Amino acid sequence: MLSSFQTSFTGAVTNRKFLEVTANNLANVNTTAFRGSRAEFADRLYAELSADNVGLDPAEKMILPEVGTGSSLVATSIDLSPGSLAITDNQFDLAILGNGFFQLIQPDGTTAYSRDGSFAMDSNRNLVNSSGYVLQPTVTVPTEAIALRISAGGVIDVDVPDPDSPGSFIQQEIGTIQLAVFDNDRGLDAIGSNLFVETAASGAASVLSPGVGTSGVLKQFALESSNVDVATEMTNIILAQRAYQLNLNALRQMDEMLALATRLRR
Amino acid sequence: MLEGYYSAVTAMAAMVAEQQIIGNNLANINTVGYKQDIPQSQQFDKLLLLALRRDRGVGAVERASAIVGRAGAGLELLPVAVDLTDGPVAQTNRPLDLAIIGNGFFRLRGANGEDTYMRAGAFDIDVEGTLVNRFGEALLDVDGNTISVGNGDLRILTDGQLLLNGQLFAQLALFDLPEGSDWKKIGGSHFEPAGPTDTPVPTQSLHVLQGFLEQSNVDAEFQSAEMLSTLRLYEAAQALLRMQDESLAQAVREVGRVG
Repeated sequence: MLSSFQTSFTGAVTNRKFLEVTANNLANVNTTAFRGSRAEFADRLYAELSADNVGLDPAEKMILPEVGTGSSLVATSIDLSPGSLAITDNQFDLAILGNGFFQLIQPDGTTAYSRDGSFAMDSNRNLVNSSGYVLQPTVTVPTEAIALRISAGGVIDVDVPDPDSPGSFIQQEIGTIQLAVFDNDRGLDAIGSNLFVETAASGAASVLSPGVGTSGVLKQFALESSNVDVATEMTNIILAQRAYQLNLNALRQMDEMLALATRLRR
Repeated sequence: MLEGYYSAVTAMAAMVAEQQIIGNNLANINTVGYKQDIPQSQQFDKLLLLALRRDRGVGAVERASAIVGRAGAGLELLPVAVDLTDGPVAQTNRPLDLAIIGNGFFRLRGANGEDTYMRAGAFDIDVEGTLVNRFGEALLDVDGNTISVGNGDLRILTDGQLLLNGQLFAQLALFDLPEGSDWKKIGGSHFEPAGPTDTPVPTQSLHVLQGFLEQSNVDAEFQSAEMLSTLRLYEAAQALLRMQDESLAQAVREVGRVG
């Protein structure tokens, strides 16, 4: 009788996790280049109803129903499909069309990977992401530079004053953005703040210029939107909530049955 | 007189088990590829005969019938029937999600080389580039080989043909049990043949959808209604037990009292 409480309890817990994952997706519906997650469940083990049967000669055994013991979360898998592009008027905004990740140096010196291309300049005039992590390979913008252009192939050009003729500008190449691609993007570990780190499952990063091999190309003045679909997530919220309630109903009913059983002896 | 106690108690026990089965169905209302259990019950003596017939020769039924008579009538649950009807199919747009329409199960190979079967079709690509499920078991094609995808672009047609970068490279197969054998659930969304000698065979035809997942086929309204009737039956059996107890108490007190 008491195992039935456990069954309904696992159902409630599973659906609360479903709700949490969905809420996180919805909270990031406007986060640049966010990748939505999906909670995936499976049923738990099945066991014969009565323990009395255990150890009996198979011929003596009665056929008893095997009853399930609830559900559990098996995975939260990340949806790697690209988000749509949003056009911006910031020259430091970059979107990746196709495969690949920007490489960023974290404060501890290790490299993290991100699809989020909303860059800015720090006090050293290096290109950094919104957390202040420096883009690799480092791009330093000269002090006098005006317009900054980034080609599909990642080459960065700026206009700097021409030393030979004051008042006019000449084009100067200041670096090339390179992208990291992985054998298995699904194996990357999401560490929050839109960052991923490589794992044994993802394989090591191969660093390529945009447009070379499997690497995608860059688009300036654009950002990749979150790939979360609001309609799907709203539906999931309702599904999770109702399932949670149903499991609590089942729990309450078990409680009523137990109360009836205890009232047998007055 | 004590047989009456038996009937009421077996009914109560059966209702508790039924509630547990309903609880498990409700716990898995959002589990991809889950198939709901249908509790089945019948009168106790019939069950015993049935169990004996299954396990031993037919002649054994007569030998055991005396025991059946003593056990008294009551209610007992039969093995759970798995409702294998299709669950609703939901679009996910993920290239490694596969939904089965109609009959059949995916065949997968576990870490120890054993075959497992499931309906849940959320797949992934492992470090070696092989198509695997969430438990790391490799999906098998029609020839029983694992499916190596690498970093390529995988397309799966509705008839189970697998295309890698536009080139046909493998054919998927689904498996089902012959008529008269049953599947049973073993947890983790896995199924296995209920009988140890049953072997799943490839289905005649197959229909799969890429970018879709088959949702749980648990029917929330039906389960809620079943839950209510379970509670009322349990209450009735409990009342019956108390009534019998009272009449027995009365018999003890009053029968044989003189004057």
